[in-house]
Amino acid sequence: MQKSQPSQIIDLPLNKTVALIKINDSATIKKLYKSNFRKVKNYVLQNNGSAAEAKDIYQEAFVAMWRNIKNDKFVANSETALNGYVFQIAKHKWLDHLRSASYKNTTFINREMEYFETENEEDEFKNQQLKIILESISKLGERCQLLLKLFYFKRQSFKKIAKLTQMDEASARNAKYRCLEQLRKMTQSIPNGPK
Amino acid sequence: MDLNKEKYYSQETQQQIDGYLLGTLNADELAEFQKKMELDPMFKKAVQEQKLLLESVEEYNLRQSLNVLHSAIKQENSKKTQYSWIAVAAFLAIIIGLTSWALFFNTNSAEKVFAKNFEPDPGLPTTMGTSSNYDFYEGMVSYKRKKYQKALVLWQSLYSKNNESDTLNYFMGVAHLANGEALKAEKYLYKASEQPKSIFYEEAQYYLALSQIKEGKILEAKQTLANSTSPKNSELREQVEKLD
Repeated sequence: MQKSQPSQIIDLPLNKTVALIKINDSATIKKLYKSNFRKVKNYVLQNNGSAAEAKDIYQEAFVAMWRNIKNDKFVANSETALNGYVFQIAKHKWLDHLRSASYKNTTFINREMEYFETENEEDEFKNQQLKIILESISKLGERCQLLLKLFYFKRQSFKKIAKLTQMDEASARNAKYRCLEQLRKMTQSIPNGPK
Repeated sequence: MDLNKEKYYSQETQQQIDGYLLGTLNADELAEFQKKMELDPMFKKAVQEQKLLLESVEEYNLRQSLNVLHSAIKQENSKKTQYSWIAVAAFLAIIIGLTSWALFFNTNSAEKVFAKNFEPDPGLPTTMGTSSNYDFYEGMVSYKRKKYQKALVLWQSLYSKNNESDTLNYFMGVAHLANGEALKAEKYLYKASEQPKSIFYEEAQYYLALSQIKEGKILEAKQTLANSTSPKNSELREQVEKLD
């Protein structure tokens, strides 16, 4: 009787972590980010890299980990596995960077946008689109950026968003709708963007 | 066609798709939504499009927050380094403090041993007698009046004629020591302490040791007293042993 479902109890914290990552919980992201950086930094520094390169590679690895968790591509069975996963991605990315032909000629900073792993044609197309959309977001007005951030990244309710932006709820909903539409249209006007 | 397309990008549709992508639809709404996607490829496409926009918005903001996090880590680390420098500085200050305190304490206790034990030899009786000893006894009178400098001047002329005299070496040494000139005292007392047959032998060792203690030469003082047997010297030796 007492022995019932021990695995659930063990799994619970990790499932919670994964769930929190999926909703972009800032405390969880902060903890995960802080606890793995030193190891990656040491690895890069020991392998002909600089601190700036360590930061870049680590952030790419972190985003990749985050993306895979969002898409259920990575099923972590322990918290340690999650930490190990971030490090493994960073390590592979760094080794890829060292092997790359452009390594000797190009500085890593200029290769900033080359972080998208290309696995197949479909992924490559998606990555192209993602690149265009990210650029478009940076061109959005401050207000639109904030509204989209609060709703999609921070996962705030319109009630809260209305309070934060000093609008009524209906106006906030409407403003967010128009911002996303603006973004969609921006990405459409670019050739090969989403249609 | 265009009007038809508009409905996929209405505020209502966007909200509906948001509900699906953010997982806020209830079971019934979800079932209905999935059925709609199956039946309407255009709607499905709109969902995929909005999904990509949503993911991009998230990633854009994630990257921004990671940069903020990173500069926070850097600041924390530099603060840590700052603190560790402060810690090192504080540690050094404590070490320096302790060392100087120990040194001070050590000299202080050597000084204490000296102050506790030093008492100038009372001197010899001054019976005015033969003229040959006149200068010596005049000096002794000054010595007894604690006019050590004057005594030393008087004795100096005798000393230049006979620098082996145990009596002269002994009293000139003690006079210098009483005058606070331990180094000069040591020179005379050393000579006096080298004459085992002298009546001042033990006493010369005693005052020699004291002048060495005053100079902080604890090891030498120990050596000076090493072979002494007189109770006075043994007692001083015990005190010197305790110095370190």
